[in-house]
Amino acid sequence: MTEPEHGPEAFESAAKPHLPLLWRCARRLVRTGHEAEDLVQETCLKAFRAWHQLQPGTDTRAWLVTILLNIARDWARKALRQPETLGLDELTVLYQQDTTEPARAATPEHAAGQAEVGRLVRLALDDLSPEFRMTVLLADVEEFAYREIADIMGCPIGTVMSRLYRARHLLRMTLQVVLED
Amino acid sequence: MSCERPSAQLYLYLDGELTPPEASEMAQHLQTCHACQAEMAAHRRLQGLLRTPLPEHEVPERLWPALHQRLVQEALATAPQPVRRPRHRLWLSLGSLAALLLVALVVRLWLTPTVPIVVQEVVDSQIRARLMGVPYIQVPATPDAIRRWFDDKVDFAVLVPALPQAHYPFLGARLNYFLNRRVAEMAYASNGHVLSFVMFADTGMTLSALSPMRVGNRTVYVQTYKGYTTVFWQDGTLLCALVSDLHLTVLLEALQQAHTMT
Repeated sequence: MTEPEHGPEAFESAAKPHLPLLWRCARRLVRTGHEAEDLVQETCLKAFRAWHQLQPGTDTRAWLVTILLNIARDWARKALRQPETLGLDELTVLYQQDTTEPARAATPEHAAGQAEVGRLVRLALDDLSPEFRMTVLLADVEEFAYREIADIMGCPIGTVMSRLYRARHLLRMTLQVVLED
Repeated sequence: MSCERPSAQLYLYLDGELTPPEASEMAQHLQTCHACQAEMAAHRRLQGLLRTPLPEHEVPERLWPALHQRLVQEALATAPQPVRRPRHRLWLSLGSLAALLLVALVVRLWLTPTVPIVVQEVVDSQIRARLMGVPYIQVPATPDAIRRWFDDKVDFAVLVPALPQAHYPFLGARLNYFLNRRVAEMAYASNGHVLSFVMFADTGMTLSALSPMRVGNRTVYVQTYKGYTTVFWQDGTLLCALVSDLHLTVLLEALQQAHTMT
């Protein structure tokens, strides 16, 4: 029998507070909202299946992000093996993004004129490799400690520190016009 | 405007990774160092930008209900069935029976004594030679002549059994090869059957898997295989065997008579 404390209700009450975090991570790891929904759902299903194995005292927040990141990595590996064929609509969107939104080339006037700081930030983040992007977001937005990030990313703390240094440096260069505005 | 402190230390402070004494010391430094203040301000601005709420970061309303439904489905799919039908029990019984038979077979195989490879090779080589009609080479039945015949064929001094010719006529000598070794064979007749003495240089061969037996002052190991009886013993660096389809008592008697092997 499934133990009551291992049922969906118990899992939901533990996982639901972290849904915004999972959603933000998912949105930053995959291209579209639909993919992000799939990623969050897969993460929660996988977590629910392993819920009864979770050791007491484990940080649920970090555990969920770790699962999400691993699934995203699997998807990325599969996508590399089986490149997706893009439809005409997606190609149009990509073309428009590529030709009309060069974050690096934006002048202060242009940036101010656009008043789309958020979009520029997103583009700057997308410019980073997924490992750099997640490291800087987990540290600077989600406020995870180095040790937690190392566990989530499956790398040494030294790697977290060097990725963080590089990612922050690149972001400050890319977003210089916005930061000085 | 610059600071001689490594910037990594400032970032460890800003990320809350310093120990309390280190953090306190860095906080004091920051009160007076303009370079570090500027660096901290730039970092805070970047953090502010990264934390800018975006519409796409709003969790879609449909996400949680959809997720809840999938979790419930998952829980139902993985819950055990409360009632088992008789057919399931039948399959369970058949499965248990098959498992028991398998265990019995494994135990039987485990309890059946395995025949050491050296015994198998000695017997099989006799059978092969007989089937293929490999002849014995006629050599004068004297120890010297037999040893000379083997001199350029094997790399050890052959021990020739001193059997009385009247009872055990010498049939001849033969060179054999098995277990990656040159093997010397000497055959004697006994009541219409063949008694073969085989010997080869022993390099790491072990007879411990066989049952030991004392014959005179010699420890021998006896094993029957495929209708042949084999008697093994160690003589210095040589491993010797007497093999025949005769009864064990005949072999042991011959072995006692051949106790002097020169």
